[in-house]
Amino acid sequence: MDEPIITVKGISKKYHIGNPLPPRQERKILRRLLSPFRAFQGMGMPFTAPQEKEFWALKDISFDVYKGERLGIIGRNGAGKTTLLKILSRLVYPTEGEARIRGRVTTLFGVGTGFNGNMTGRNNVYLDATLHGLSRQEIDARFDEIVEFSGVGKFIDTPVKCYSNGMQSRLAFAVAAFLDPDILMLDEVLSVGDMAFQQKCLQKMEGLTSAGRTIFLVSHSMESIMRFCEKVLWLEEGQVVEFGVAKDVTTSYSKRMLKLQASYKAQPGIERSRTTPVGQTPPRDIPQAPGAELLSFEVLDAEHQPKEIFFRHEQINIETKFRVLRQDIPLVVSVHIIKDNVHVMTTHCSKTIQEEINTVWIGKTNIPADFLNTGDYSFSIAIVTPARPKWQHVYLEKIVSLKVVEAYNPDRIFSGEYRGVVRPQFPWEYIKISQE
Amino acid sequence: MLGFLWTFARPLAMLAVFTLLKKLSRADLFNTIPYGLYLYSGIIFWFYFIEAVTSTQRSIASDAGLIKRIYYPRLITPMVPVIARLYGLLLSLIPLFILMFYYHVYPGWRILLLPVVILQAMVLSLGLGTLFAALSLVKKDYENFLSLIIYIGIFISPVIYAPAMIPQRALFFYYMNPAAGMLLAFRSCWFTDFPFPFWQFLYSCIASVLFLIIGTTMFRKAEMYFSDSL
Repeated sequence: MDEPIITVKGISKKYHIGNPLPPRQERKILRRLLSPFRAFQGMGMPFTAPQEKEFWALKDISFDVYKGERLGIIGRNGAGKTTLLKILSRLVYPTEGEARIRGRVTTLFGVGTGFNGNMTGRNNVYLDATLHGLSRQEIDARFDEIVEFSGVGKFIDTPVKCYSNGMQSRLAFAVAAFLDPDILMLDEVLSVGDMAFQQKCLQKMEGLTSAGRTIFLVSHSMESIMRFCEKVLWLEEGQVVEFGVAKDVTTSYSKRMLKLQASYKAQPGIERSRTTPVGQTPPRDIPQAPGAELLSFEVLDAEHQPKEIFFRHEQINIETKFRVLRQDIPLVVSVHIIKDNVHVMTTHCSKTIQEEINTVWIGKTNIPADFLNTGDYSFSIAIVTPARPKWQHVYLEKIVSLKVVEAYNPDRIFSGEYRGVVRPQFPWEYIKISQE
Repeated sequence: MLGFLWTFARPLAMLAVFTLLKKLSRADLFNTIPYGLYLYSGIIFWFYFIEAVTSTQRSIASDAGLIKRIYYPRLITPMVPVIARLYGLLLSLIPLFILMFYYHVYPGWRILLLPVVILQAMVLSLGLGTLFAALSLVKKDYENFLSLIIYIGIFISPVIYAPAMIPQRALFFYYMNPAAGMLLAFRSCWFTDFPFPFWQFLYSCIASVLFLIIGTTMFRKAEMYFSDSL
């Protein structure tokens, strides 16, 4: 635990747009290749003037990973995630910097398994495993497990080109997982395969980490990252935006990328509440001054911290802070919950509040655990006077949003998505009424 | 499917054509042993050599799928064809045995040197192959250059004619070709009457080792650009 299994120090990778090896680079390589044999220099040198457009796929990346950690790597397409994995698996050399890896790495890239299509599944498994440094006996010992796990079954002796994409990916994952590497890197591999297989993969990965293996997981799915990783590296345009505990990084990522926002704070003077009538209120009934002013609106976790991503088994606390501006009218704070443009529900206290001017109050409620379904939910806030005519002092639409994800649970009955905007846990029982 | 029989097709066809040409033209190719034996033994070894070199040079491109996916010592890739092509050479020996039986020519003690000669050919193929694999990674010109050398090679090496045909003055330059000593030594292993070209073979061995050192050094340096340029 004291020494990191992977140390990445200032890694940068430069690519050239259009031509992987532009003239200037070409000459540089030729010079390097021929350096002890100077007599050959000048052979085949290009005459065209170099026109180079370069871009840095990675710029000055540094981080440490310790044994048994599960590191998630997130970021937009082209953020450099795959390039980083390629460098760490020694497939690509960094332009600058160095990485120290203490252990055997197996990397599985999601796009294209790279199997030789003309060879049978069996031969591909043996080839891959051999190149990863396993002896024939070691492969023999694992072969049945690999086939069993992949579910390829009797097709193992069929050329891989006849496999479906799913079968290829499953076989590739099985090989990678059963090679028993010290470090397993998975690049977008969970997006292939059906839900049942994904569950199986997660379970296998769980097993590997408990056996002390280190796992890298590149994924666009916040859900997989949240479920599985302890630490997260967030890359954007080849640079580290954030590296740290999964919860913190995913939170800021969700804020920036998924436009999720757990906390709304009114800016003094800017978000002045204006009271508007609702419905067919005659003009003369419009109140002169609003009855309340919103100060903040937040969704909080059990530790009272604003949070954008909740597990389904967590209770979501909602707090509304407001200042009373009028004493003569009753007020009600109501919260609207919206999912996919469906108004899921409206909730408010059954009593109204009528208090002194300039007192500050917090309206508290919570959504119980195991109530919402998985997905994105938005929250709107309204402070109204319910008495006729209904006055709306504050109404801010979808100012807070969060994502509900499912925690990894191997014992789930159904592995797929549940339908419905909510998914409350109702009490259920079976009663035996007869015995035949 | 005729399968492995195709391995013989090319050398046997060449044997037929050149034997016919020689007969029709009544050309003197300065052979001291039956022409069929001289030609066939030369052709099979030459084919082994050039196939090993070209597939070694191409091995990086043809194994791109693996190279981009798995890290392993990259020198394995060019070594594979050098070893794998030995199988073809082994099969081509069957017609050679038949020819030897037909001409009543049998190997003497020098057959024991055969592994050394084959090893030298492997080293030379690997050296040249890795050298051009590394260079053609950077510039495709080198690939064309190699095929030109190989195309000319059969005419400037003792494959279809004996070196005795070459004028004395030019022989020094003729033997600068490391394949010359290699081909002559190969025949000497099989045929008792064929003298062993000691100096030429020694030169071939030294040149092969040099090529191997240069080739693998450049290959090792080029390794870091494989993934970028495939």
